[in-house]
Amino acid sequence: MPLQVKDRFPIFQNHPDLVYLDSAATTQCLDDSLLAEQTYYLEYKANVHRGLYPMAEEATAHYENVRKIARKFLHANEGGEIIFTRGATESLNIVARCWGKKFLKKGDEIVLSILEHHSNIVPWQMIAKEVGAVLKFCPILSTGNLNYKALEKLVTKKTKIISITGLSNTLGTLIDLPVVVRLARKVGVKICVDAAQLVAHLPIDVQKLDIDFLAFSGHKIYGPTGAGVLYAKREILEEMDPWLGGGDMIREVHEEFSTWNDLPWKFEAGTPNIAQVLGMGAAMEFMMKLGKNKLMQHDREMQEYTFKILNELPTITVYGPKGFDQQRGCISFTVKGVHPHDVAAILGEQGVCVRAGHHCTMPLMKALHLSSTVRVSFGIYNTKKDVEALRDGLKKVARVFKI
Amino acid sequence: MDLYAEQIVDLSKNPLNRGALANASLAHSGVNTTCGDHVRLYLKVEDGKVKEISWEGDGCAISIAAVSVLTEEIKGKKLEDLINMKKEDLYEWLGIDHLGPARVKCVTLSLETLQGALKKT
Repeated sequence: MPLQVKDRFPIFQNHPDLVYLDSAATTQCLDDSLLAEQTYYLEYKANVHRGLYPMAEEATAHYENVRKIARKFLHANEGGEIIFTRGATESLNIVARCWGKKFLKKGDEIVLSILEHHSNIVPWQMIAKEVGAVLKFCPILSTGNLNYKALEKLVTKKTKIISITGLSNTLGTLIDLPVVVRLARKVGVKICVDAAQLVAHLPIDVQKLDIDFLAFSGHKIYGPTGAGVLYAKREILEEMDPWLGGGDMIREVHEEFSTWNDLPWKFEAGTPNIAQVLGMGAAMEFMMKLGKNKLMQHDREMQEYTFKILNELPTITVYGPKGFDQQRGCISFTVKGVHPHDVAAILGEQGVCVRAGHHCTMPLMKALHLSSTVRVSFGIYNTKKDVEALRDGLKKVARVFKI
Repeated sequence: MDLYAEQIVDLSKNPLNRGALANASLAHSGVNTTCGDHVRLYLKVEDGKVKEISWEGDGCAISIAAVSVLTEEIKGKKLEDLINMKKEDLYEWLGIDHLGPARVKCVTLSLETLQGALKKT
């Protein structure tokens, strides 16, 4: 059964024939999210944490309510552990910059996986260069699954943090987080999860999983661009110094020095993206209402049907794990004899939106001996009809290139 | 406009002048960092003219077709006449009249690489 939620996404009313298979890049925006943003601008626009007039109090209350929603969404212990950012990239940069700068020393090791998006590689490279730390990459198996045995060997006394994706944005590889966390705890290192893709496909309980840091973006869970979350345990955030200085993050400012505000505001300098945070709040509520079972059922249906259709086309090679317990959310493939950019361009001419390229995972592409792939990725509005349009588009590719 | 017209598809499947040139007097590489397309041009210059030219590299159909027609068209031409070559010349040779911002670089990669080579002379 399809989810019957397509009419909750106004873009499809404006483009009824749109076949959108690029939700791993950004999802389309939910009606409630758009409404939350607009209502703020039309009804109660005021800065948060500032004014004493009713409208400012209303804006603050709505903004802080999203923190409660996010706490519930991640099953965090308290709102002080929820920091609003511009998105997952900014969240990961805060971890590398604020935690890394303080706690990483020369010779320390940072363990990542080869599956990582550039946003979970580059911030670590930058801080590693600064402090003299070393990056170690856990490889994958030929199946596209993480090589957990190799990970076990990589994590040593020198390791200070494991920073890893929860779900690969290129291969759709699902990471067994309990196994990784157990390893981190055994050796006594911090664990940071890039959940940019994962949150759109599986509910997360940061306390149950015992995660130290977690990052995600609102625009990948049907909210607007410009808002995201950094979750971190209170005791860790307390030890970290703030990142940006400015309004809202201070308690007192003197000519010579300043003192910091309480958590989480210590990490939220300046006027935040208020409307976008409100939009993200509506999206998280929608996701929670939808629930794990419906999300998983829909993902399974999309994945199985797409695999079936791609397998029926003779010139296609699919990369990554195949089983639903190991893979979901997106599928990467190539068409024999046709460059991925040409595949995506011809599909685009047919109204089928897919991504082609390295998907911001160049080290992974190198490990796979590929320069690029075509990637289809799924949102809750996709139906089997979208996958059929993909099939017809791929047949057109074969006709154009006479394969 | 159909970007994937017969000529472009055929050139991408059967490129012209592909391969290294052992006795090249001039060689230059170019890369399109956003998509990974890369090309290396080899020229044998005699009396200020392109005596022989070839290329190695990889890319999408548009970029392969573009480097094919570029190398074909400039054979025998004077180097000084190539300095002012524009992307519109390549459009004409490829039989296309316009490219969107995402695909312009597929055509200009070989042109920019050629101009980089000419700067070495």
